[in-house]
Amino acid sequence: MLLKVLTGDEVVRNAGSAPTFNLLGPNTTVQGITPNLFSRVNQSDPLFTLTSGFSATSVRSFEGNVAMDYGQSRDLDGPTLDDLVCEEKDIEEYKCPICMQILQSPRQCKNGHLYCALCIQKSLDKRAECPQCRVPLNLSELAKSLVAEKHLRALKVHCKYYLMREESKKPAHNAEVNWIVDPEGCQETFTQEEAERHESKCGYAPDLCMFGANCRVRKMTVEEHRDACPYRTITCDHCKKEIKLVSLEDHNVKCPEIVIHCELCQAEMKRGHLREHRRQQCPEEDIPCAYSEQGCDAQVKRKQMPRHMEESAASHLARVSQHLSQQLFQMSEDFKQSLKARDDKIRSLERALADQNFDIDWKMKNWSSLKKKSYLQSGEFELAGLKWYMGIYPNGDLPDARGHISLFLFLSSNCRGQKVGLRFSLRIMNHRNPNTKIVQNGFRANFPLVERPEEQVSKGWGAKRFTPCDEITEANGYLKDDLLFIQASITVCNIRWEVETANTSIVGYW
Amino acid sequence: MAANLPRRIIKETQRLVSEPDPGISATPSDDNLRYFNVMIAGPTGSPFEGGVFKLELFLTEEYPMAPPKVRFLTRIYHPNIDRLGRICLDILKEKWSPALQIRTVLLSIQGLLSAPNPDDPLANDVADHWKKDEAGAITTAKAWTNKFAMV
Repeated sequence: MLLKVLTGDEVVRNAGSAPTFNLLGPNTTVQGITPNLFSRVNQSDPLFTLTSGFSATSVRSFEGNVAMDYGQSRDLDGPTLDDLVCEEKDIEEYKCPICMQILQSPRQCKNGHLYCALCIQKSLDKRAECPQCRVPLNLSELAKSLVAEKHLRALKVHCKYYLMREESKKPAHNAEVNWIVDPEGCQETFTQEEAERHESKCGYAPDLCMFGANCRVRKMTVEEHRDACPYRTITCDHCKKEIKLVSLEDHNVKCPEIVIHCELCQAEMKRGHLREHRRQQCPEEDIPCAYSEQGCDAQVKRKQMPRHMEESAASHLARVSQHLSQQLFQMSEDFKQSLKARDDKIRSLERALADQNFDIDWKMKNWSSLKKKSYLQSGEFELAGLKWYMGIYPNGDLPDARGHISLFLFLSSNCRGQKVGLRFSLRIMNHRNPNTKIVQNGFRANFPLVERPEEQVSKGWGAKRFTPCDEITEANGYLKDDLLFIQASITVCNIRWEVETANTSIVGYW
Repeated sequence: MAANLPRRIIKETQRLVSEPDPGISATPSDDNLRYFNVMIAGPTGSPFEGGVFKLELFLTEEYPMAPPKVRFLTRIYHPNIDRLGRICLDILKEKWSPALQIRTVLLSIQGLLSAPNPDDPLANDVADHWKKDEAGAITTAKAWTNKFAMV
């Protein structure tokens, strides 16, 4: 780090203070104005840091410490110097009256009153005087105390691994960490100056359990712990699976590879096979009679089953017979019911269709050119589940109808079934006056739906001589913009269906 | 919120309990370790002799950089203490120093009971009474002590 701003005052102060009291961090080499005067500056000296313009982060981290507590420990989590000091005598003089703990980076007023550097800085921010003698005082007038530093350096302290955290029973929000003597902790003592060097190597320092458990492990016992940790992984001798040592007992009562005795027949087998053994083999297992479904309630040991079968053959046969006849009866009942349901459904559909009137409009554009053809046909439409179309012969279907229009309603030829009864009329609509339409009424027809090749039954109903061709003119109103408008009005009266036996499987019903 | 209690407060509390000063007791509240219930015995030879005065003391987040807040809960006839129990004492205000402690504050208050200072009053009517008729004021103070501060 480069030291940029240094007042002459500070140069003198720092030059005079070497070697400094190193408590918190490593020494920092400073390349300054007079390197020969102070080649080493202690980074742990917070005032020095704060006044010399080191990086902003280091300043903030110090403020963080201050906000937490005025007294600082060697590390934030560990015990403080006060917790670790061996000799209580003479130490009172070296306690800061502000934080009441052993001085950290001691500073003194003109009259020699001592404070931690951070504590007095915080106080001077509020009031520029010595808190004890009230002599006017500011930051630049603070002086180091070589005597105090020397005394503190020579302070006899315990290793920080001499203490352990006391488990607090208080609620977490005001839990203070209490440090108590660790009966198995490090017993070494040394001067404060030597503490860091020792603690960085101390074998009593806590370490992590390599098995991820919450074991209390020390640096020096890490290797022993590898073979002692109850959470270490071992291989089961039987199933070869890896398990944690602590769960071995649990595993032993579950491991499928361990040989056990069947508690009924005492046969030896692996635990994993027991279930199958009891289900399939064990002669002592109670099993239900094979005719339980037919009503035999017997539950006997497997080894006694053959005898039961022999003894009860007659009764089993009777049961089977009874069972079968019951089933047959039930099936026929079920069948009747389902047939009846179907009949009901068909009837309700018939009723829904009967007496419903349908109007089908067929509008033919360009009649004047279409009428030159001998036959014209409408698109198909669906009615009563069947396909229909209309057909018109503009000049009669046969010679006896020449000069007339023939108009028919046809059933599409690929429809199957029994019979459909229709009532229908065919109309040529008048565009000008709807009341004067040409109507051929009163067709009643049963369209046979069964193909009877021997009977050449027509599938079209209508009128050969529907109307003379010359009736259809614009003047009469039957054409408009050369458009002929034909309407079929159809009422379905009755439908009769025939159904075949469906191809369903009832094998296995018995 | 109460973050870890600063070690200074813990130390002070321990010392107040383990080495109490004569005529003064201060115990922290169970649910807030910054709030103390204080009792001060009226000093011998003062008009408050025989009385036990209850006070409350609170350490703010800034303590020890800011003084504790102290107030009498027991009514007292004193020129430097008003009817709300507020105390006129310089170290509780502009003369505070972080080198002072709970114990030194309470000793100062005890001292104030021994030596009322009507020239720097908080309760003006009491101070006037004290200056014009000290004997009468002392009689009233004794009467108040009997009335409010006897256990």
